[in-house]
Amino acid sequence: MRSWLKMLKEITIRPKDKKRIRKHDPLPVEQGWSQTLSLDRVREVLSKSSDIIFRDFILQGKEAVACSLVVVDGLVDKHLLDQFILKALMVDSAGHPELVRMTVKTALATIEENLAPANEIKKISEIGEAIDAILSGDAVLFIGQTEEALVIGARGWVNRGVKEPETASVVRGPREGFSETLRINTSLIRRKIKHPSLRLVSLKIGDLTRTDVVVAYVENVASPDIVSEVLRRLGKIKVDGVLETGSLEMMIEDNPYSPFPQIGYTERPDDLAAELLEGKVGIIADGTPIVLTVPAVFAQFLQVSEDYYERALIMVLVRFIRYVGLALALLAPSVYIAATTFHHEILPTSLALSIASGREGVPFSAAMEALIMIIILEILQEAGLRLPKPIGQTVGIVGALVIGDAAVKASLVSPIMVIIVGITAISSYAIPAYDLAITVRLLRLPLIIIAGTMGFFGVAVALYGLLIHVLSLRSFGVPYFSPIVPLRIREFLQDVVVVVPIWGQKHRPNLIDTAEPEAGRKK
Amino acid sequence: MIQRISSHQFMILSSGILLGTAFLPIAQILAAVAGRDSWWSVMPGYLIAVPYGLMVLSFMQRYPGQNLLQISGNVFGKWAGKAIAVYYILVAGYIGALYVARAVDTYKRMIAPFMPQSVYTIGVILLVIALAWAGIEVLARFSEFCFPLVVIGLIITMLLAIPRFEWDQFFPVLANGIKPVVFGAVKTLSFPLEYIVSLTGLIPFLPTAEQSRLRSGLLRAVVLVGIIMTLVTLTEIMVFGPMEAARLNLGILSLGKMIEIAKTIAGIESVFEGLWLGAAILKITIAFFLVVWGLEYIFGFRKKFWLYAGIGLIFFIIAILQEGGTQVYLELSIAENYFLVPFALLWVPLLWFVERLRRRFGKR
Repeated sequence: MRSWLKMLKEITIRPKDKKRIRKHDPLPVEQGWSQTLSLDRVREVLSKSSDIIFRDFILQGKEAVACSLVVVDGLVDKHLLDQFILKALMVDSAGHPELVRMTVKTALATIEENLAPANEIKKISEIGEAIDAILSGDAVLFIGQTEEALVIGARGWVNRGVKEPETASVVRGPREGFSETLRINTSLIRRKIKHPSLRLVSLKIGDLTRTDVVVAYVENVASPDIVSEVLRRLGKIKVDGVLETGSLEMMIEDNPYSPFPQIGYTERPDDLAAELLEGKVGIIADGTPIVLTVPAVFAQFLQVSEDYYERALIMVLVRFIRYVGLALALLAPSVYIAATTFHHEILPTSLALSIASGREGVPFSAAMEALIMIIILEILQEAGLRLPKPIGQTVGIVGALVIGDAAVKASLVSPIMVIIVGITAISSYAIPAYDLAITVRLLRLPLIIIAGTMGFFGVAVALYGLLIHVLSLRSFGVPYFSPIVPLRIREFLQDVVVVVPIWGQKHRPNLIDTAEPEAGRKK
Repeated sequence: MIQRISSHQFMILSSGILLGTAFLPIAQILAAVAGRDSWWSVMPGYLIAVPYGLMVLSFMQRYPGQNLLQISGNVFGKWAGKAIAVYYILVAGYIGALYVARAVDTYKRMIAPFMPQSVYTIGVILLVIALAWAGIEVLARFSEFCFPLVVIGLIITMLLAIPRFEWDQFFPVLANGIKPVVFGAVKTLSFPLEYIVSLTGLIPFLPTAEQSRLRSGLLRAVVLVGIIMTLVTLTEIMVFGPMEAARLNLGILSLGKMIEIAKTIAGIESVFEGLWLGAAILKITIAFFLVVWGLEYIFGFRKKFWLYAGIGLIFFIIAILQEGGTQVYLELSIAENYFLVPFALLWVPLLWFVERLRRRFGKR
């Protein structure tokens, strides 16, 4: 029993001290990684993997120097390796005056300073550093029996390039999105913000995956407290692997039991650049195009980058529609159920009669009817999501038109319920952030049950319960519902429901303690 | 971590507590005493909160981080302080539980009469415990969210009631002289003094350095709520007349029932009741907090779930034992007028006076 309880506690309660999250004991192979470098030890550790290449050769100077170049097949740019490292050392350097004078003792310095035409080169002296560099895609050159080696930047692997993200397409705006390669992603940001204040701090997370993670922020704009808190939380993570930023998100968010997303994410460089300019901090991980941004507030999940590219007046309407969509997606079925089950008095007689005639012959209560329809809708969504596009569309059409129509004709559901569920589904697509949209989908079901059993009182209690929860949330110290509550009037009027033109957005949102509150203005 | 609320949040929270759910019975209470001129009584009655509030705020700088119970302990002595705390807990707890009963009675009568009283009571108390557990900062944010909604709900109700105004109900003004207006003002004292008792527990969470902002926030809150209450009372008098307003238990909800928007939405009081639930929760949570602070002072308790659940259970038992209807209103009016009002009227000025005397004679 106790072991069951212990297991239950382990899988449900996130330890406050994140050091305890899946603590990884050092593997036997990791013993002695901080020791002085030796090719034999590296060979012992890595030679069992078929993708590791050890290219041994001899450089003939004043003395013969045995060298070994170690790389991972598939992670290095072979053309660069052949033409600018191996050829340069083995062929082009023949007769070089420095090579002629080279001895075993001076070999490392001679190669670094005179013979290797690589722009990225670094000396290392520990076994762990060498193994990290090799497995990250760099080439490591061991020279003679010296206790140092050279890391040569030669990373190059197949990637899908810079494409428009499918989940964040825009009518107006750049067509580029992040990819799975960290360096491409950082370069996309650097292209947007060409200022030395843009800081990119590198970390490695995951005891086994050793995933490269970059924390991006603009110095003097981002709050130093938030930056250090991000680095502190990331630094405390001890897990075997980080394969996607979602797992980082779960480990650094403030309240892991909340259904609400407390960390934003984006696939678009322009989005990230805009957020960095507002004083937020980005977390980019190798192997995923999803970049996290912190801190996050509720209102940002109803904003998209396009809001700032179109005329402000039009975007006010669009924003308003998104808020209406959010309200409908969350509340339309429950309000309908409460009104038709408990509170007929709020409906005018003609509307009440029309609803009643539509429900004639339907064997289920309104709540049961809605639950069945919503569950079918969820199944259709889930089924269509992972199928190839043409089949997914067919599933949607079959589900919505054929099944819906048949269900109405068979008097299993009322036509008005089909309309309500249809409105709910369409409204949920008006929520631009997928993580908020799925939160709404999750909350809709209990609201339907409560509305069917307790009417408006139940719905009001549930909504107030949600409100209390949302008001108690914080994201990296920033109240989640700001600038609405606590009210920050300037930010509220500037960029929540109303979007003022860029020239009117003179101040950065002061929900974050930014060092430079002025955001520039139209001259 | 010490929780703090900003001076702006203090103003909104003060307004929320002052408004509370007083807009439901105020017209009935006043119309019974002052008749047609009852709307004159609101502002003078509410203004008593200003000197009392200033007295309470004046303690903040000399006793930072202490509530009025702790200050009473320092000034009157340990046992007198504890005796005051016991009375404070009993009054606040009982009135808080009666608020629950009144909210439940309102919802039961107006929304779904066939739903068991216990379901309503549990719903309300769960929200109160959740809000209290979330802390005073969240309570302040909650008031920031709810207060504007309640005010908007009231304004919409009043605006949509204008076509139903019977303008001859307004005159003659002060036909019975000033005396009924004064009696009416005395009748409203329980609302501002409830706020003052709440303020006695709130002061440790206020920004000590922002005295002038707090004072102006207090003044603004009193004037704003005074105006709203005056308008609510006036609207009910204008629509129903003084006799009917004195008879109607929940006049503003009856107004809501009469409203129809564009021949599509009618009887919107159930929607507004949803908004007003927030105001009720706010008021009950403050009473809940007073009990918590009192117990913390007497027994030195820290924030524990069992403490909150226990207080919630006591609230539930007291609320569920109420019969509902007029009985709750009578019980509440007795508790407020005979136990809370004299206590608040005496305690705050006495403490202020004695504390000043002690300072004058060099004792602290």
